[in-house]
Amino acid sequence: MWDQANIKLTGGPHGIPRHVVSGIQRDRLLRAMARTVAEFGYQETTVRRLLARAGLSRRTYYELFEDKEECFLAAYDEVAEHVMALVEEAFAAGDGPEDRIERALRAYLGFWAQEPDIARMCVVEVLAAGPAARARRAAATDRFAELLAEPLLELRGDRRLSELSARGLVGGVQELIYGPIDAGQTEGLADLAEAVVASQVAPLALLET
Amino acid sequence: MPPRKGARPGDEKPARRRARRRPDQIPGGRHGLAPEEVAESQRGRILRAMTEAVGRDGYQAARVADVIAHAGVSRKTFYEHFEDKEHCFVVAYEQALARLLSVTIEAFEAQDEWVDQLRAGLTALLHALAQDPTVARVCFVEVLAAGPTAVATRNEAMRGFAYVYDAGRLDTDADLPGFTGISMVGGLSEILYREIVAGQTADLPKLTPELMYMSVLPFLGADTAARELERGRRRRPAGD
Repeated sequence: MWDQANIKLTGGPHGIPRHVVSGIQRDRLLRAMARTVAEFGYQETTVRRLLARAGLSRRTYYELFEDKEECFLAAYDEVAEHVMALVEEAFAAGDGPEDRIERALRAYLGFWAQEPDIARMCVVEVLAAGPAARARRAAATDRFAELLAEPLLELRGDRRLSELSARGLVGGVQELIYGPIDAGQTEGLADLAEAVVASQVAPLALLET
Repeated sequence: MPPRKGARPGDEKPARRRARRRPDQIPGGRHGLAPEEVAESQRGRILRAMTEAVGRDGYQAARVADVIAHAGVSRKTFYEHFEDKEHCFVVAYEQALARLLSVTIEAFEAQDEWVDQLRAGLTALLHALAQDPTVARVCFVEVLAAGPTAVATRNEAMRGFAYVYDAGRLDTDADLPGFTGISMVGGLSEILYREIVAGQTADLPKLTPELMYMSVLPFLGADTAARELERGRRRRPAGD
C-alpha cells in the first residue's frame, strides 16, 4: 500500500517524468494523511501537519488536492479499493461457500492488522470526517456485503435473507474491530475470521431440512 | 425602542415575537416550583428539542439556536446545563437509547424460553423504532456522525443489547466465542442503519423473521433458525 511513499525526491533536475513525480508526491501525502489522522484524529489534522509529515510544499499540496477533505477521501478510496481487491482475490481462491467467506474475512482483517494507522483512518476516523466520508464507508460496506451474500445464498437459497445476513456479518465484524483498532491493538485481528465463520456461518451447512 | 427619526408608521421593526410557550414549559412569574424542579423541566425540554432537531436536520446541521427556541429556554440556560452541542446530544442519545433498551428488556423478561424472549424483545424494539423515526435516526444513524465521544458512548451503550443475545448461551451446547453477543448487536445495528437511511423505518417490524433467523442461528442451529423464519413470515402482516 502506497509503496512509493518512501521514495526520496532530490531537488533539481533528476530526469524523472512529471507524472511520476506527482504520483510519488501523492502517495507520500496519502500515507502522511493516514499517519497524521491516526495520531491527531481527523479534526485536529491540519494541512500544516500533513505537509510537515509528507515533506512537501503547500504549493505542491494544492496542486494535488483542494482541501483536507478531498485528500482524506482520496486516501480512503485508495484503501477501500486495495482492501476489496485483496478480499476478492482471497474469496476467489476459496473452496466452497464457507471457505470463501472465511478467506475473505481473513484478508480484510489481516490488512487492518498489518496497517494499524490506515485501519484507524478507515475504521475509526472515517466517521468523524464528514458526510461524504460516511457515504464512502457505507458504499464500502455494501460492496463487502454483496460479495458475502453470494455464498450465503448458495448455503441457504433465500435472496432477501442472504443479503440481510451478509450485511449482519459485515456489521458484526466492524463492531468487533472498532475497539481494538481504536486502541491500536490489531495483532490478533485476522484470527477472528475463523471464529466468526465457525459460529455464524458454519451452522448453515448443518441444515437438515 | 422608539421609531427611528423619519420612519413611516409601520416601518419599524416588529417587536421580537415571543416564542409560543410549549405545553410542558413552566409559565413565567410565580409558580411555586423549587429551583431544582425548574432546572429539571428545562433540562428535559432541551434534551427533547435536541433529539427532535438532530432527527430532523441531522447532527451537523442541527443548531443550538433552534434547540433553545423549541425548548423555550435562553442560551444562558442551555450552557448552564450542557457544555456544548455535542455534550447535549450525547446525553439526549443516552436517554433515548436507554428507553429503547428498557422497552426491549421489559418485553424480553416477560417470556420464559430464550427464543421467545429474543423474539419478544426484538419485536418490541422494532416497533418502538417504527413508531418514533426521530429516535430511530438519532440512535442508529446520527450518533455515528456526532464525533468521537458520541461514537464511544454509542459503542458502550450498545453493549446493553448484547445481554439479550448472551442470555442465549445458557440454552445452547454450541461452543460460541465470547464476542458473539456484541457481534450480533453490530450486525443488527448495521442492518437498522441501512433501513433507516433508506427511509424504511416504518417497515422495520417486517424484518423480524430474518433478524430472528440470523440471531438464533449461532445459538440454536439452522433448523430452529429456519423455523423462526417460517413462523415469522407466515405471520408477517401484509401491509402493516
